[in-house]
Amino acid sequence: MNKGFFIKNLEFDYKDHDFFLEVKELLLEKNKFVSVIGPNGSGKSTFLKLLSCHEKNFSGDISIYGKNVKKISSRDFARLCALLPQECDKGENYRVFDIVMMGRYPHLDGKNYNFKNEKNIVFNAMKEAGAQSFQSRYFSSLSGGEKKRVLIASVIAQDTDFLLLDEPSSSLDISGQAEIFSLLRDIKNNGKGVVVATHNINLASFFSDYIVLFKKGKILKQGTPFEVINEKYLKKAYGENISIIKNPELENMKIVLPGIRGGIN
Amino acid sequence: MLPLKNKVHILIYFFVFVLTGVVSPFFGSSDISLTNIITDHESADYLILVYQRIPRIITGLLCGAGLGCCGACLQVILKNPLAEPYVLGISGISSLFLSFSIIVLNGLIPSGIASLAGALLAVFIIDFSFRAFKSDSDSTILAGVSLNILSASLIMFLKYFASPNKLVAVERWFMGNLDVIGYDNLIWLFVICVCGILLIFFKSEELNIMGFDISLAVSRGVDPAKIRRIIYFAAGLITAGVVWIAGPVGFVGLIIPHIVKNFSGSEMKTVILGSSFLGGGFLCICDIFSRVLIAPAELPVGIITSISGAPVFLYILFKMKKKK
Repeated sequence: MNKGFFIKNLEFDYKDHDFFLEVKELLLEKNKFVSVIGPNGSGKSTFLKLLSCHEKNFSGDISIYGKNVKKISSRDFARLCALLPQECDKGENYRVFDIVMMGRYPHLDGKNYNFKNEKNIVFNAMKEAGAQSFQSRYFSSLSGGEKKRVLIASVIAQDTDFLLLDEPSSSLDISGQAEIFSLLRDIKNNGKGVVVATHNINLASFFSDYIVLFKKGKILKQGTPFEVINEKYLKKAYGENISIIKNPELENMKIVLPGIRGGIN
Repeated sequence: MLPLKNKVHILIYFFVFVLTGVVSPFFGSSDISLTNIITDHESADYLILVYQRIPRIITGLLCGAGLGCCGACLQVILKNPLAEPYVLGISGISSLFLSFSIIVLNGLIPSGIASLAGALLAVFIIDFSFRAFKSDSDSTILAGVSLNILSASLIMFLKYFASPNKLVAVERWFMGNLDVIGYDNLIWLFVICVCGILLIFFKSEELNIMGFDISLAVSRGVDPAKIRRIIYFAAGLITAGVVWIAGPVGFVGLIIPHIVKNFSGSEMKTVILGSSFLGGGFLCICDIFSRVLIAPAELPVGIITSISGAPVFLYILFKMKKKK
């Protein structure tokens, strides 16, 4: 179980509202692209919060490389695993370069700090995420897609083995979404573990090595895209009237379409 | 490592700080001549300069710097552009404790200790309400405003029972006044303000990260609760020092960080140093007005800062509403 995140008998509930999350057993490996899908309120974001130690009042075990996450200091954990939250509240207005530099925080310990070296890492991260062309602009002046790229660059700069991203493609147009997913696949190909919570089932099935399908706080099905993107499970999760059609271009790929109340006229 | 632009800006703020400090001793109700001062160390001019004007300028620089710095960091950790020691009631509760120690306890407890206790109680209440309101900054500001109102009415209550000579002392001090004679208390103010500002400055990296996004900060290994406690403590310490020496001077902590951010961006190292230097300069300039406007009499500096600060407060409110 030293390959990455290992979750066993995880149970969690919010005290102030009615929600219960339960994961019996799940292994998230390095060098894998894992997508977490499920309807709204099914527990995707909560699951990522638990994985990233934002929420520690759970019972059961979450371990990374065989170590219990509760026993790792927050700084050490920040060197192993990074989380990109669903929304960044627009606080202070910073330059793009400064924001990406913030990703280096867990690595700064004063003694062997080399600014040139840090700057190189930041530049490479921006290059990888395609954000270098607007590095000296202010965050508030960027478009939605550019903002996502900057945030992803800052997570790359954090240089962790695992990247958890909560809906990284939300609020983007369809090609923008595909761009972000290809970018995340490149990151995975560089040897990182990528875990994405997303609503875009079609992109998830295309890019993922592994898919986890949540419904009402429980895992309905986990496995390869071929195993999970299946009429039986998806109808259980999203409702009876969704339809799944074959992709005319690719043999094994399927396309999931939402059901439309009243039919199409 | 700061970009060149930010370094230049910090240097400009520092220049304003030093320039106001050097120039303002020569303004005041009585004209003093430079030749008299240099040639005769027994002259009235020399005594006025060394025992009245210079301590007063140093007080102004230190108090303004402390308040500017407090405003800058409180606005970031509370995620609200209106946060500052005066609005949050830190100055208010600190003043209440100080008045209590003068009027009721007859100086049984040193006034500095009383104002420190008040300021620390206020930041504790603010920290508590911030957590109780689940990080909702608007409610926290309202809690601070009610602390402020509560302390103002309790001080009025105390004043009702005070003897006339104590009343005059409290009243004068409560308007905010930089009138200090000699250097005895200044050393303490210096230590408090410099330590407080440095404590905040050394957390500027964390403040940057928290200012951008709290959950990103957590995933980077920053402990927001711990940073908040440190900042509250430093802000309480500085505010207590300012209240103890100069009274509850309002609005410096509100206006100055906004000017600095407008001019130099949100990078916290720049904002903290810039707000400190510009705050000191600003309070000194306000003090010049307080000395010359109705010379030979003097206005309390708190009146000048509030008169210039309240319109800015309104302007910020309107601008915030527009953004939403």
